[in-house]
Amino acid sequence: MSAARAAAATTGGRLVGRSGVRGAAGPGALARTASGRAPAARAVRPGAAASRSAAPSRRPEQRPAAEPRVRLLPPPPSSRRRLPFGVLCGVLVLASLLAVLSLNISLSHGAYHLHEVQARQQAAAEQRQALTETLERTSSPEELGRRAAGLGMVPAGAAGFVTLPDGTVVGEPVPAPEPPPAPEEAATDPADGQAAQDADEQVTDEQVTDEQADEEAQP
Amino acid sequence: MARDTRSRSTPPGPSRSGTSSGSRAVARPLVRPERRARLLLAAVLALLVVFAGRLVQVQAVDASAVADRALADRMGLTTLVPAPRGEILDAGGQVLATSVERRDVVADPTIVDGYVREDDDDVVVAQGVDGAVTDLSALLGLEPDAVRAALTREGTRWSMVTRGITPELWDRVAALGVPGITSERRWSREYPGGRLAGNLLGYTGYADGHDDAGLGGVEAVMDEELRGVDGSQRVERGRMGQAIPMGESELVEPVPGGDVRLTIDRDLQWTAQERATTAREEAGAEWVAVVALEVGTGHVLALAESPSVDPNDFAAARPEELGSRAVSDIFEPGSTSKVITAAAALEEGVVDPLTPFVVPYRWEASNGQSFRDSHYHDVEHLTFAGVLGTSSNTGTVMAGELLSREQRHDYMERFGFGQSTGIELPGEARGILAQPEAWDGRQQFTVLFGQGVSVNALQAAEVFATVANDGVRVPPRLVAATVDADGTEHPAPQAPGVRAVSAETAQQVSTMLEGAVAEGTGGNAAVEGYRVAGKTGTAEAPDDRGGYSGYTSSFIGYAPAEDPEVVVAVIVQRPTNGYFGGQVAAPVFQDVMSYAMTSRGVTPSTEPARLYPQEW
Repeated sequence: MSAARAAAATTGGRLVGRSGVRGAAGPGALARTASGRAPAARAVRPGAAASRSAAPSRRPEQRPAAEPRVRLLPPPPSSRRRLPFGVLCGVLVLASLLAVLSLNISLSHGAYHLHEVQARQQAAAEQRQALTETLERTSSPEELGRRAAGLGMVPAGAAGFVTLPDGTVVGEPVPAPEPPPAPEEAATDPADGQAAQDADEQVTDEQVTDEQADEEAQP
Repeated sequence: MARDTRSRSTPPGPSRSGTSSGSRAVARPLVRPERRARLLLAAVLALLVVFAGRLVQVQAVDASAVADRALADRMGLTTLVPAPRGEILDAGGQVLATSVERRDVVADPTIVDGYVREDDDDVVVAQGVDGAVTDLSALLGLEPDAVRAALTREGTRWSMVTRGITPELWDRVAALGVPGITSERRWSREYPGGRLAGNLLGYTGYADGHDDAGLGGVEAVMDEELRGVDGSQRVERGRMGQAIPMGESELVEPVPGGDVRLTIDRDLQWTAQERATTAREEAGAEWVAVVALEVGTGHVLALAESPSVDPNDFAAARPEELGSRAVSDIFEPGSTSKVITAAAALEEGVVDPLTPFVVPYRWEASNGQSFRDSHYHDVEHLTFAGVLGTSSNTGTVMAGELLSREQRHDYMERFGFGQSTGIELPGEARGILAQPEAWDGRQQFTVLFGQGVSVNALQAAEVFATVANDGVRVPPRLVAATVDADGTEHPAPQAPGVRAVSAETAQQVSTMLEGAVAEGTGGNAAVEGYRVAGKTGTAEAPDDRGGYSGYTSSFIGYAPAEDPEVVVAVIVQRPTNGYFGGQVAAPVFQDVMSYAMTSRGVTPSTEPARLYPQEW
């Protein structure tokens, strides 16, 4: 094989042929060119082009040594080379399709998971709200007072304070009044507890003494 | 592909076969494939240009309009996502008002009949509208007829079944899977304390297109801070209009409202409210108000009253009970405002605490107006401290006569009479303080002992808070801070205090007020372990017809007297069972103040009081 043919084989016949034509700039060279498609050839001898064009294809190896010029060669048979390429393309397409598919599957998987987790979060938030509501209601002063009274508890009396560091007691702490007699009963009936508390407050009211002078008396 | 196209576009035969007509076979093949290829290329390019142009037009020029149209086709209507309203908290962060999620159950009556419920063995146990009515009414606790009416409503695809169920109940309703039954989310205002502070918290209702606009109390005044910004949602919907699960959705998150932290101490508020309730029952009074203020800061620790209102059910309350009487109702303060007269006389130097007075039962002024005390007594030899301690009207007028009309008016103004306190509550009545020129011959004296002038309970308490705060009047306030949804706290601005009288005068008045409790009319207000300064008040209550009917009994004071922390004012309007302030109001003061001292951990008084002698 000549260098020209080798070049033609590697880079493609038509391209090489054309570059050969253009490379031979003179008219004489054009006339000898084997290419039937070269525009220059047509311009010189349009009539002879058809008959000559067939010649190289019929006798491709007639004058390899005498004709160093690059000439157009038919594309080399490449069926054996195309097959792996086609297979490669197919594999690539298939692989990308599979990749997209698996991506989609994992995405929708994630979406399902997200949906499920969001539902759980929602349920937890609702439960939290319900518990908070219950807590706020049961920890309100009114409810606490009612339940404490139900358990037989009474409001504390005056408190004493221990001062540091000498440990003296400030104030006159007094024990809380006697709790109502039947705390068990009171615990079941909140109204009882309330009554007990009311009775407790009565004590202070009994201390009421006469007011002295505290009024404008208009005639 | 490209190879195929070319081989087709190039005529196969003529040049090779040579059997066709010679001239055409020779001349044409050289020209035609080139031209065809060019034409084809041009055509393809032109097509590509058209495509590209269209692409640019669609993607770049008309992009937003086209996208919007496509979205509008796919997406349903925009639904409102209501923002939760902020919470109202007490001083310690305990919740006084909160918003909870509730669901309104809505039916599409046209598709409810597709309902089928099977048990575990795939046996149909409920079916159609009848089955849906049975199951729903059992779950929702509603009358079957009402549910049936909602599910069979004609000519609509939106029919309200029930309002305000909890999300958990809705989950169980949704689990039934009745076709066409959906829920709408909304926020409902809850007041976990019930009547606790109900009169000052206010209530919410529909206004300005919002379901939970603040309509009363703190809810109304702080509405801007509490209200959130509603969001919106659009979801991809199917042909039947149902939201497609996991379909396209567009959510503008609602911005929750900010919280408001009050100065109210929840426990003290409750104690005050309980005592107000029992006192009103015992005294058979029209209303009772109890105000507790923190000395020095003007923080309102409690603003309790009876009758009270439960804001969870404000529709059941009478309109006149909805506001806070402690700021909206005015009364003549009576003897409690003798404190102002005493402070004015001391500050102006016309008397001192030990100035001797000869106090008769009845006394006549130079213009012929005569005044007498509430109880008959022989002529007494009282110091000025004794005049205040025994709450003598004649003695007070004798001392007050030494002040000019303008001075009397000026000091009442200095102590906040006739001016709005600026408290964060709607409907505050600032009371009536006439100009001194307008006072008639009698009123110029009666204002000295608190008749002929009117105030609200908060103003009355403010007088004592001023004395307790060494003569500096600090405007009371109810809102301690606002808290943004992101937790940033903005403390409410503290208005500067205004000096009403000198510290020395305030101290003298304070010692005289201690005497009023220890030796005078306020004995029932004494708190075990603490020195209390305070004053009783019993005034005639003006009626609607321009006269007087009934009394306003009050006790206002503070403790510990040597280093005041808390002012408590108790106002009992028109008691029918006893009417003296020391008898009706002082015991309430004692209980509330005693609780305030213990709960705030105030150390009991150790130094004994050094009182002024009451007689000479």
